[in-house]
Amino acid sequence: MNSGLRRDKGEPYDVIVCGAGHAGCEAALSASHCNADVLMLTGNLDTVAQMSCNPAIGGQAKGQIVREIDALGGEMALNTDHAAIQYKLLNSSKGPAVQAPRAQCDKKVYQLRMKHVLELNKNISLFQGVVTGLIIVKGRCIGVKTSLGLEFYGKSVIVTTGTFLRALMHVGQEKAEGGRLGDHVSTGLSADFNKAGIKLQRFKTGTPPRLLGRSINFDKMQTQYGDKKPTKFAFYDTRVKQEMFHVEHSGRWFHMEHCNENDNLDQVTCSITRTTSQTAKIIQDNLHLSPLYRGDICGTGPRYCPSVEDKIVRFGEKDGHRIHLEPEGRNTDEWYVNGLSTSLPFDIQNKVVHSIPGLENAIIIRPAYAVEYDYAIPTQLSRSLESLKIESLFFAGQINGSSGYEEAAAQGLVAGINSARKALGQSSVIFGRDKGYIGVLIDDLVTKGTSEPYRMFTSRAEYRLLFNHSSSEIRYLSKIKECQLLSKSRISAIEKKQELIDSYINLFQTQRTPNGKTIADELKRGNQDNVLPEKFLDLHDDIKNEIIYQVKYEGYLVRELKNIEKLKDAEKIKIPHDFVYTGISGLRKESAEKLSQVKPETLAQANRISGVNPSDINVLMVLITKRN
Amino acid sequence: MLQQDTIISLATNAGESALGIIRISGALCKTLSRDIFDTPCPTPRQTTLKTYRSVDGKIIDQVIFVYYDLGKSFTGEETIEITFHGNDIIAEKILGDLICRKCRFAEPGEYTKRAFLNGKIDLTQAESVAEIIAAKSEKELELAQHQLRGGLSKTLCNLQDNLINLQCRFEASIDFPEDEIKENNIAEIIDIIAPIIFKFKELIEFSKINSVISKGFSIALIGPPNVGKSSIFNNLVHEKRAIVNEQPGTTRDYITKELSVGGFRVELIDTAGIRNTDDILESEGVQSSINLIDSANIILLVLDCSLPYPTDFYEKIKNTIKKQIVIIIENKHDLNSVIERNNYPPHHSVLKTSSKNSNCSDTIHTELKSVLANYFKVEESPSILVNKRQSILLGVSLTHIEEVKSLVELSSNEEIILQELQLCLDSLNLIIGSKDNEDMLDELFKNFCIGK
Repeated sequence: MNSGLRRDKGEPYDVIVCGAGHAGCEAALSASHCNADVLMLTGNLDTVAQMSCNPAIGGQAKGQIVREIDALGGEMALNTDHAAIQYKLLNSSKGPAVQAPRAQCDKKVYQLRMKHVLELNKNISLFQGVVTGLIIVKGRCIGVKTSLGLEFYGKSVIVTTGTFLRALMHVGQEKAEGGRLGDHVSTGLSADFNKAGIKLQRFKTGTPPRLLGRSINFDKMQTQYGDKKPTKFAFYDTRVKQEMFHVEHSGRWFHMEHCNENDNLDQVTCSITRTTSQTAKIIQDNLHLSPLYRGDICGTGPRYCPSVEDKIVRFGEKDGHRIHLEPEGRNTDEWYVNGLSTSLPFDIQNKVVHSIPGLENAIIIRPAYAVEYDYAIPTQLSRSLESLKIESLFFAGQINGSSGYEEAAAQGLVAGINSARKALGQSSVIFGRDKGYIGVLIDDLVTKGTSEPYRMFTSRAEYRLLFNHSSSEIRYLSKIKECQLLSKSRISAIEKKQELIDSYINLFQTQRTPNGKTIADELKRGNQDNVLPEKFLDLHDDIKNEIIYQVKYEGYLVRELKNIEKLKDAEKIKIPHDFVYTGISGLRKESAEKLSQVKPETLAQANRISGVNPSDINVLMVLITKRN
Repeated sequence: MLQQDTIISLATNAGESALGIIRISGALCKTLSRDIFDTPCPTPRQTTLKTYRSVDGKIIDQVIFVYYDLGKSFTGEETIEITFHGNDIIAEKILGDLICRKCRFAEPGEYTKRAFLNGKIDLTQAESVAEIIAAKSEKELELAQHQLRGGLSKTLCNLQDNLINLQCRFEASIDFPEDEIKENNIAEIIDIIAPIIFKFKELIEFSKINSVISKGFSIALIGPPNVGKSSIFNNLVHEKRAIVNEQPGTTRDYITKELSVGGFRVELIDTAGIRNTDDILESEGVQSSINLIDSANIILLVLDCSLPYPTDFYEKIKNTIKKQIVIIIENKHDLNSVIERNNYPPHHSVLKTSSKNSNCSDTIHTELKSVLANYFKVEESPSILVNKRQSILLGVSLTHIEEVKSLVELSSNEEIILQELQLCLDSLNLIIGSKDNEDMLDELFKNFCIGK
């Protein structure tokens, strides 16, 4: 508990969070849940939890991450459910493992609510100030300096500065410093990282123009409606009422429509149109003006989110490329043009927009731009997201080379928990790739690094079939208990849920239907009607679906579980942190270099480093055994 | 890498000795002893003569079997050694059968590593153990590269690429549901899978050819009893031709000799006459003859042309004759020919001989020479050599890709198809090295315009 800001070296905060984006918010909140006393610094209090790009949370693989964040006590899911204006379950016609919830959100509501959640948290002090440097003493980070020449001290420091490090925005040949249109740039930190031996590299990303709704002719477009029955992000079956509304029911009334699990809110619509051959021609004719093609931009951009000029150059005009129009909120007429990210000059952007059916007279109210920024190579981190170079310094979010709100939030959560545990003298917590997408995300980043802004895909998870979104709480149960991430009542509700699921699975596998087959057999053959016990039909939908999934796909799930068991053995063999890889006969030089850089914590992790081959792993195994 | 796996390897060099040894190490040993040799509690360090029967119940060979207890073997784990009759085909069958029973091939140096980890080798030797592992891997790699430099590497890489390509079609539809990815059409996907399956089958066939080139072609003399097989065998073996190796079948009812025909090393096998019989001993001999037909490359089907066509004999063997080259020898041509030729199985040629006449072996020899020369000439890719380990791994891939095909035909969910497809790739990756998810993504972004 704190009263007012402390700048006393002798009385440091447990955790200082630099940045209040999606990573920063989850970091501060999760550290506070672990009983840490948190200082949160942001360059601009008006942009807390800002959705800088598309107005949606979730989507393929990302939706699963948000549900995992909810399972681990994060805020993103509840915040999304309260700010959602349209829900859609992606891949609803495919199997449960690859179904993913997504919600269009009211950007302002999202921000305001998250800010209010932070404000009302008694363990968090919020303060506006741009972090200009780190205070590092003997290889350990003990605090930060801010723009007013203030110094703050903390036992742990988390850097979540997103795209703001040496950020450079491009619109045609026009360049401006800043991580987001209208925002500042952070330069001091890059220098401090260099001094500390933390290697930085450059990435690029971009955002499309925003249009004024009343200038759009939606009649010429195809309308996209939300799902009749929304798939929400937070788990409501294990929560008591106070846990559903963090700010709405607290002392001060926060103005927002209440959102219960079964509320079917009035959903907004989105619209779809396409680029035309004229669009392609305008782009082709002006390619020489694009900073990407002029060679002005040296950072690597994401392949899954190419600029429209990239799409035209690489895939031609085909029959056009799809463009989605998405509202930025209920109380604004600003529209996001999904699929039209570009760094072409403003005049050309106008021509491009006007070449698209329905946008002939559209007015751009915010131009598109590309932004280049520094990120810190994530293989310089341990799996707790602590720097391998500087002790007590943690990194989370886009600064680690990732992309996306959900990926950032997940890292924030993990860094928050571990920074708090470090400050409070507890051991770090690792989220393994066998538990869920968060584990895959962290392990991929710190083990393999990334050559483009890292986005989660379900294909990155080798145990994808186990990671259906509705099983998140159960998958992480052991971690939740280990770190006491949730309230006692919610933990026991999850335990009860698991027991219920297990008992029904057992029942289905043993109880026979009149024709002599077990219920499980019937489900596997696709017969669902008339075989399910009545009591079962009364269960919560999520629980029913989970049971049916586990029974129906048993054979495939067992295969995944067996593979996890194999991984566990190698995961048990720990590599000492000070293990010296150089000078080992039998270890190839390239492998030794990679291993020294990544410093894998276990043999299984070492095995995942690209370029390290099985014989290197065998050699390591022998030498580690000798040391132990 | 994994300790709990039971590992196997051929402890002797192929084709260099009369006997071969296969070594098995790991926790499955007792199960194997029970399942294969019907000996649930083997006495340690005792040699036992046993019949090796494969998972599907077929007799593979008479073998000597020794079991070593936990802590009392080279690796320190439970170990079994199987001594079989030195023959590549038998070795391949036993190894393949053990893979079916959930064993896997040992990595280079893995026995040494396990011995070390189980404390059978002194701790101070850790560095040298590490070096042995590295050196053995190096050697293996060199060998593989040498071999892979040829057509095989290209073929396997193509297969890998095709599989990854298939993978990204499914992955794209899962991970980018809102981009305009063309829906996967069953017929189109089957058209992609069919040639992949064909290629796997062809490669596995090549492995058989390889064992032929390195070890010799196997030619089986078969026929009903008393048609003159043994005389032909003796004629072929004892005249002019150099005898490479004589190996009387001590426990088996047949004799093999290696000889050279037109520069090719071949193994000539004289089998027991095949007929219906109630005698238990004789019927075992008959069964082993049938097994020999199965593994032979060329069949010399000897018939007595003075007798009617032996239908009961043909009934017994007709399912065994598949791809072998069949040469029919109408023996006893000095007698009156009454045989009905219409009933002959599909064959390459018919020779008329009389074993009383010494030039009968010349006729057969000349025919064999031309068949062999032709056989190796038509073979387009003699540079494609597939060894036992590779062929077994390819077999695993084949099983999974066939399963992929049936899942696709049943319109199963993409994520389920992908699990199966990954298993197919995993096995192939063990031969030519892994490509990871990044490679799949490279391919995906190259082929599909992703952009929402």
